Amino acid sequence: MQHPDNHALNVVLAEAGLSRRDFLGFCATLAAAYALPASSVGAIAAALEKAPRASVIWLSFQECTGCTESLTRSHAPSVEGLILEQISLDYHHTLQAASGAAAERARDAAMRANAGKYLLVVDGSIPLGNAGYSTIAGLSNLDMLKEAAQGAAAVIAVGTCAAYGGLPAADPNPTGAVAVSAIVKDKPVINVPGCPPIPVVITGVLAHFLTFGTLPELDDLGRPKIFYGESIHDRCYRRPFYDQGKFADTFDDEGARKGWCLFKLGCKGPVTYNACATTKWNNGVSFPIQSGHGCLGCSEPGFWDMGPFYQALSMPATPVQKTVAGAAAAGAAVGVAVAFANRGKKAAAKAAHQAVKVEDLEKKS
Amino acid sequence: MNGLELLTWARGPGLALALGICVFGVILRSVEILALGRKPDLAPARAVTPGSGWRTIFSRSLPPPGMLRRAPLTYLGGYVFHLGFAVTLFFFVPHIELIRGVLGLSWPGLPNSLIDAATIAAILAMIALLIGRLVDPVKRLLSGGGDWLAWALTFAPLATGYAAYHHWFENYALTLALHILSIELLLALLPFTKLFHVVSLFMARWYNGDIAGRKGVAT
Amino acid sequence: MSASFERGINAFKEVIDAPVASFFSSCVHCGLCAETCLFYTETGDPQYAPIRKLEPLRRTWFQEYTLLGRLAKLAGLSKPVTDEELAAWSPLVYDSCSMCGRCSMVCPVGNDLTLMIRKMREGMAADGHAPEGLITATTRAVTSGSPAGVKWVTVQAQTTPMKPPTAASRSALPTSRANSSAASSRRPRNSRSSA
Repeated sequence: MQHPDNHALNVVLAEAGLSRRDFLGFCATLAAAYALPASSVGAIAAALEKAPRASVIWLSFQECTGCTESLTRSHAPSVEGLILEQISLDYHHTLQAASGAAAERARDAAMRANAGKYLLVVDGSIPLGNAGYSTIAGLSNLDMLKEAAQGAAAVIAVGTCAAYGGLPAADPNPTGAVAVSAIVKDKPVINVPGCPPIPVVITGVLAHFLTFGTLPELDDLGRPKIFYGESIHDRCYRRPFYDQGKFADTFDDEGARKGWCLFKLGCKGPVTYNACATTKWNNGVSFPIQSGHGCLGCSEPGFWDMGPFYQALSMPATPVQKTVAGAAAAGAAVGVAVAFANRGKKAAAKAAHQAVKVEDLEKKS
Repeated sequence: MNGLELLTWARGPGLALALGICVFGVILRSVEILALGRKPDLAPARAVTPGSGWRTIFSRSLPPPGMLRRAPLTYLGGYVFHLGFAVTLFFFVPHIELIRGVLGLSWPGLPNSLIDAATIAAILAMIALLIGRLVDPVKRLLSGGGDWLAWALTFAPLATGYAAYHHWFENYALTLALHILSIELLLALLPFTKLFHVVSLFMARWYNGDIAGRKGVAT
Repeated sequence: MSASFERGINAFKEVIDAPVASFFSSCVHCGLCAETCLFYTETGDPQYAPIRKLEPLRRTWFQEYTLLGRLAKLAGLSKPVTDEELAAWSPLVYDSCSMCGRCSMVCPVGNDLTLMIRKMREGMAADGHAPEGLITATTRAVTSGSPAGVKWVTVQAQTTPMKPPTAASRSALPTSRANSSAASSRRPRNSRSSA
């Protein structure tokens, strides 16, 4: 994982003007996030201090750069930014200085120099419909991903597009977009979904890899459990209102002003697993529900096709009225048909009726 | 297909399908029953009792004198189950939202703690009624596959709904999907099992009251 | 002409109407009708549950007059009613029901079980499954005018002392005659004066 111009973390810390106290504070936060004992803080610090800068190659496919925007929000003042300093970002469209052939050469060089060791980060989905839908330097997204994944230690799919297909894969999926995990089968893939993912979640996953050299524990959707282990609903500060049956009916009613539950306004918090309600955004300032808007469920697969954003989770995801009206008509039609058959049968029975006389009461066989 | 995709299917095509089968069946069965008609009663009525059928629709909800003591489990279990089920079905806010989404009607809900109590009461009553059905010789003799099926169809939504609300299982979306699917199964089979009594009992009670009324009997 | 299974089933088909269909559709097998039936409460034998007595009629309704039942019958999932079954049911439908109507008054879904027993008996009679004693009594009633087989001479003998009194007998009972004529003539007069 050695990189030519690598610096150990303690050097970077000093350059950034941060004290050892700040650094240990970060390590303690990390230990808490991973539910490790307090005694492990020293070990984490030692590991991070010694860790050489890992080479990271970041590929952007069918995406909107929102994930990169999110990542950079963790940059400036916070200790999370250190993690970014701690990696050698050898290739990233948006952030790298080089362009054109030079940029591609940098990618090739990094892949060769760190074969089998570099981390591959992908944002955006991969179109399978037509290679021409999305290309970089004449290379289709599919080919570039396959090539880059070959020598990677692990692949981190950042954002819902890379993790599950996201917006490009939304119905009717015109480009045939698929997730990274649909293509990369022989390397560990960590999904860090979200539209975009929380900055600290992106850097936290990287930090885990740098600290332990292993991947964090993943759930059945390939997401790190520490960040995606609990639903927004379970961690929501408005949850007591849900339990009391107090709901906002519109975005400007009394309930909305009082900060009541947004379930009726379509909040997908109950089925969305993410850390928004705990870590929040913009350095813990707020998150969507706190600012008065329900959760859209952006870190879940297929969230664009989960039914209307502004209808309660228990409402029909698609209109049922037409089907029901058709079924009612069919029921009436079949009912009338059966009724006629029944009446015919009854009339026949009536016609076959023979008055029962006393001599008919006994069977004579 | 993961839990959320299953949930989305259950909330979309699954719901439409189940509601469709239910409405189809309810109308078919109602027409099937009512179209059989009845012969005019040529005997003069002993008493003119307008509305005796309608009266029986309501009066038959109360136990006749002495019956509560004779069959306490059937009556109390029946009341607790039906009321608990109805409160849960019609006063849990997500359920009201579903009804609003389909019919456009809505009303205020109840706090979740009350819904929770109603659900537990309904579940316990159903278990007691099941034991009663297994133990009581009359009910055992009368019971067939349809009775056990109807019990399971009714119990499943209560159990899965309770499990989903209390997050008994890690995968909430899957639990919720199973809850909705269990209701869809209930809806689809309702017209074709004894559960159809939710519709036909109104006809039966009306006929009973009307027939008795003509004989001068209040029922 | 004689009673036959076909005639019995034909009668079942005739008597099943909308009320019967709604009753069978509504039954939830709660067993409350049994709690009202004297035959059950006195014996504790579950076969006397009133709804149970109607099982052959119910299956006829299900197989003949419901779409599901017709399909089930075609698929062989619902066994057809047999003559032997009706014979076995005869004691339940006749001897074990006094038509008191308690079950019809209690059934929580409103089933008029008594009405259905009455209707079912039409089919049972047409199939020759009326009880022997009842057939004999009915035959006697139709042929001789008395279900108990009382002959006309017996009736005459019984009624002779109640013939209108003759002149001789009238004079023999002066007091009673005077009383009765006074009583009979007073009432109309009173009512007339009050009118």
